[in-house]
Amino acid sequence: MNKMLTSALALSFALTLSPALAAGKTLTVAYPSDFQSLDPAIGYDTQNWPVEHALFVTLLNYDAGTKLKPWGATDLGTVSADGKTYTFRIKKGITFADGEPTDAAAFKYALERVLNPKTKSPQGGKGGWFGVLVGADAFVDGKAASVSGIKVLDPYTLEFQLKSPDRTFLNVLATPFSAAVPRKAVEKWGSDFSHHIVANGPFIFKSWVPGQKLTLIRNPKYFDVANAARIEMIEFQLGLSEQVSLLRAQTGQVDMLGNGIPSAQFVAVSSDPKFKPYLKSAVQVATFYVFMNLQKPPFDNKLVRQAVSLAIDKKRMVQLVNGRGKATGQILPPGMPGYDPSIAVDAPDPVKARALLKQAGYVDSGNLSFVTTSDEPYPKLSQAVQQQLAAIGMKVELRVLPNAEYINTITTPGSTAIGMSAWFQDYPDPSDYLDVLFEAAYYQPGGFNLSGYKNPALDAQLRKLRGLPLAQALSGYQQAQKQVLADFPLVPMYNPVQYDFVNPRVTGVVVHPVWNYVYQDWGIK
Amino acid sequence: MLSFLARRLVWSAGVLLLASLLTFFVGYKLPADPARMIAGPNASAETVLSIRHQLGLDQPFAVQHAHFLGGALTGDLGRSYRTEQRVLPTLLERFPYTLALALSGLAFEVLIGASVGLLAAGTRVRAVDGLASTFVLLTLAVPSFWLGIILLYLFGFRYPIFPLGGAEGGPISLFLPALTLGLSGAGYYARVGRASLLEVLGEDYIRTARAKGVSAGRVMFKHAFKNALRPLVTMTGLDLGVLLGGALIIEQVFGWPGIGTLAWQAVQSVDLPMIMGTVLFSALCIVVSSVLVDVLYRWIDPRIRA
Repeated sequence: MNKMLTSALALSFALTLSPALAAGKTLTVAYPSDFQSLDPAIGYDTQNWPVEHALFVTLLNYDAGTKLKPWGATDLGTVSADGKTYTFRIKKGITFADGEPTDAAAFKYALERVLNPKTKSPQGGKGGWFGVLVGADAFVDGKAASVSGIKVLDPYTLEFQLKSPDRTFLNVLATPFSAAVPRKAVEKWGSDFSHHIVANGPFIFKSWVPGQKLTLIRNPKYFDVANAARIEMIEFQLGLSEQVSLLRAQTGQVDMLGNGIPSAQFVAVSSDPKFKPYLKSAVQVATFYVFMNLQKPPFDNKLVRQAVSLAIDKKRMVQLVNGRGKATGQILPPGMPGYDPSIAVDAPDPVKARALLKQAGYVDSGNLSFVTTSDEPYPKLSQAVQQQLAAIGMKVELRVLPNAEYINTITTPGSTAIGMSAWFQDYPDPSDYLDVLFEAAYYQPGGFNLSGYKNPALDAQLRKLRGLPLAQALSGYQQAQKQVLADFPLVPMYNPVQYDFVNPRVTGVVVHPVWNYVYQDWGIK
Repeated sequence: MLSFLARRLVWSAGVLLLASLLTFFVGYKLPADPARMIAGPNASAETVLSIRHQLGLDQPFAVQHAHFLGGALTGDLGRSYRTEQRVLPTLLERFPYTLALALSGLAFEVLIGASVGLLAAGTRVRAVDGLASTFVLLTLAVPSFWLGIILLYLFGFRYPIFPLGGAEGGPISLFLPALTLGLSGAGYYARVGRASLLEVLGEDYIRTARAKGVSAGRVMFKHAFKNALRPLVTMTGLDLGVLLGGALIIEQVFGWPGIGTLAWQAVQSVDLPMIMGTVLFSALCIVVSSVLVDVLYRWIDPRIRA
């Protein structure tokens, strides 16, 4: 009996210890700039999102790919027949680090906080993702104290009512903007909440020395024990230049470079055999392209646009980024539902391009500006495009702008005739590309229909497709994409390939198509 | 002295007001939208407009500037557009790093530069003077960022005696950035020190002292050096003021979390409150150091007091 008891005790001790044994050590990640914000209502870039995803639980999440799965919710929710009402049951036992429960009220509070213009959330107000909720307009205008379309049916049941069917609402519920936040802590800290984060995810906040170091630790009270974080601590080293961070990574002082291998050192590092085990690559769900404004001559002429598309050598563009790209003939990137592998990458044909310009009656005005930004790799890509256009008889002058001015310029309708841009996904749905880049409503100040593309039939089709389940809508999106490409409003060039530098002692590192990095899945040997 | 200080105070307030007005105007006129920078490229145009309104960026220039000045006079420099942190506490958090770098960098500048300059002027050995001139030429010609990168690579990576950038290593992390700062500015101190000492050595009272049989060493150390140091005092004071505003390039190279790095990030993200904060802080440091130098000068040179 005593022997059995001792064995049982030893076994239970070992079992409780094993997560701690498996979890251990500190992971260090280096970023050249500080985090903008860890507040899930505010932080909105590729640096902030993976950390917010590690800190805050959302109703839904993605599997290793782009398939939605429940996280804070018990399932993917029930949808009404008209597609406008979503009901979710929330798992019990999810708590914030200060003891507040993650319940229906916490989610309602968080979403209303994002909608509230005073929060200044990038998805706030009527134009944000939650503007689709019934009652959102009245709430944003200050005419209602809460959003009538978010209903707390009971402490752990939440109902959303949309103005119109929109399947992407499920994708939105997987973004950090939809994460529940602890009301008491938010009200206590206000705008300083970002530096006093109280979380409920696989990691919790430990400390943040602005500009120097952010530290997260494993959440001992995380509700999903089987999927708890496998490392004890993540330390983000901030403020070091990319080159210094690379040197630190090479000496083992840093496990991973958050922004990947610096461009200038890429060839040297990737060709060094001793760093082969450190390199991890993945095609990003993004597309680099040249856009032409259909509302401005000479690009109001389809033949001119077609000539430009035949002038650009996409394989040359990939060479210019040292092979960190995959040439493409379409706007939807691999990994995005609706990506059509049957669309080939068209080879350049300067002879045909010149003939098309002649046919169009194109006369070189000598005052065409090609708008681009000074951020890598735009300058060298733009120079190549300039040379390729000159070879077909179209002279453009490069207008290289700092990023802030560049975004302002290209999103001011009518200010740009031709330029270069890129689009990175928010969530894996074709509407995140085709609607934003080609719907007429997005050709407005701040909008990203940079080509000024206006096609009422396409707009109606895209609106209709948004209301359908994704599987049903895919062929419609593929048709829509082909239709757009046939008008040549832009020239897709390549999908960037991300090369990460990761110490081989770190395990489980897979670049996620939505989150980029899923820190909770990583371990240390 | 009191009336002098009062005049300087009024002058300083005027300089700060002008600096604030100019910087605000440039920021206002920049063809970049801070609201878009905050919201990111994927946010809708309507949301960006809403953020602009919340930040008061749709107000006329005079209203925006008046609002800023009103806050500044009560010690509230607003919140960063990018991070929403309060500007003044953020500046004060970073200031100790900038102060440490400025003081240690300045110490290297003065010690190395003044020593080389005074040695070159005081020596009769041509080779020594020649070496000193070469040193001056090198330190003036070599860009500080290049020097910093080389020192960091050599002594932080190749032969790791010092930490590889950052400030988390403690005081030893300060050595390489301070040395880089010191070497970059030492050439100016060497030139000024040399010229100043040569001028003093040509003065009548020095000739008189020599004629009276005072030893060469006593002439140099008791009479000449003291008077040769005066221009260096001015330089040091003004230099300190500039460095306290943030040695931007050095901080960037070494990842030193001072005000210079803060300013650079603010400019890149069109973070107007932080830009205003760092510019005003820098202007304040220069103005204060300028006043202190004037006061010090009046104290050490009786002729000015008279």
